[in-house]
Amino acid sequence: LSDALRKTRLLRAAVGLDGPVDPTAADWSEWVDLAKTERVLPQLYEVAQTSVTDLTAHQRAEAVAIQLDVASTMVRLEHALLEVAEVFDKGGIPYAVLKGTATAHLDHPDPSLRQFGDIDLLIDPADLGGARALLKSAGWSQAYRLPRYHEEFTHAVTFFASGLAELDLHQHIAHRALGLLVPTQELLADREPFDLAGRTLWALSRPDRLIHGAIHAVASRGPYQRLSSTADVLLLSRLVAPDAGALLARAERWRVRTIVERALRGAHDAAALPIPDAWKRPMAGVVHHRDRLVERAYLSTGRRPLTEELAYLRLLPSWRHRRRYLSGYLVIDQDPSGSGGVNLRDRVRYLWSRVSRGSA
Amino acid sequence: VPERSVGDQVVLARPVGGAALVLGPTAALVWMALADWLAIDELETTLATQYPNIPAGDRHGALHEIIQMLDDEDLLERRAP
Repeated sequence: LSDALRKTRLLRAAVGLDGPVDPTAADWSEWVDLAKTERVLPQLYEVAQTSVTDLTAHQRAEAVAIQLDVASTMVRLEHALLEVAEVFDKGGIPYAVLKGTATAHLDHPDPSLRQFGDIDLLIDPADLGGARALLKSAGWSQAYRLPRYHEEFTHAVTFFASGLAELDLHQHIAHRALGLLVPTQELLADREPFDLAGRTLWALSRPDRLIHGAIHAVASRGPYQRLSSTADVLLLSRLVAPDAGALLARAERWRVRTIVERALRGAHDAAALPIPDAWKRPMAGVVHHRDRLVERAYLSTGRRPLTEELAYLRLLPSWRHRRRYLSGYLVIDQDPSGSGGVNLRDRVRYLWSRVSRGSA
Repeated sequence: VPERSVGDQVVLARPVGGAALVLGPTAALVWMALADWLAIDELETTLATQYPNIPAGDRHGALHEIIQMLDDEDLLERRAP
């Protein structure tokens, strides 16, 4: 049995469907390993609870234990999220909860069905300094230092708290060119509220959650390319179907429609499901407003980090911004350890990682 | 507090620190009933309906143990009758 078939089963579980295969006593451990890696353990729990297979009582009990473990992590992260939301509310920083935490509460019939590994918040880039100061005062610390000049260009800054919670503070919903194409202010203007433990939090609107999920599913590579993102696209595409035309028009205005359509097709292919009729007609239309360099960077076979860099540089608002961005690669900072030495090796390693593999 | 249901169990984030607390089926039942602001006697009735074969004394003892545990974890909110 291939992992592709197992992924199909787990994806279908995310939208309440059966088939084409179920776990058996003989291959249960492969299912567990796959679901862990792909962050879809709740879907495996659902499959284990509902499938009529030869799973042993011990294996079904393991599924429950795993789901309890996932739930424990989710409530711990949400506890941290509530603290951050309170700090930002008091500090007057508008935010939108992104990805798993938002879809868990707004799109799944039960929040237990969405696993996530960290907290992702979108803020206006103009609020980054204020947000960082508030987080530091609340006990969060920045996980790693960015190259000089790169802070205004990075799509997210990572913070850690003592409770082992990780928070990604996003200025844009995607990195590089994709982040610039989708205007953060417009996303924040259309955000919607949701309730978490009696407190009102904010998330992207449902159409924007699908656009974000689609971009994330297409642009992510390596360990960041998880089935949980594909499941978000599959689930949200069904929920947004009545407004499919409007969503594609919004995506086209931002020149990311081809990215969104690629994610929709990919999710349905992976789940071995047809594209819903509500999407077929609007997806058949010609795309007029597009960015071919961005498409080449993100839709071509294989990773093209240099093309991604070129696409990004072209979209930066001025030559001054381009010069500052490139300077971030070339300027040598002092060793952050305080030894006074030059951190040349780390800088070369960082530069190589950007042009050879790219980032998440 | 943030919570999740897993079958007939409930997982909560403790109010201080956020560490998880897993409630077994009976405690989960009490927890969900408390969300509707049921009084102690109403909780007794709920447990009697759910566990009719358990002696009343045992149910009463279990209920008070659960209430005490939730109180110790700072998970109870009180309001005037």
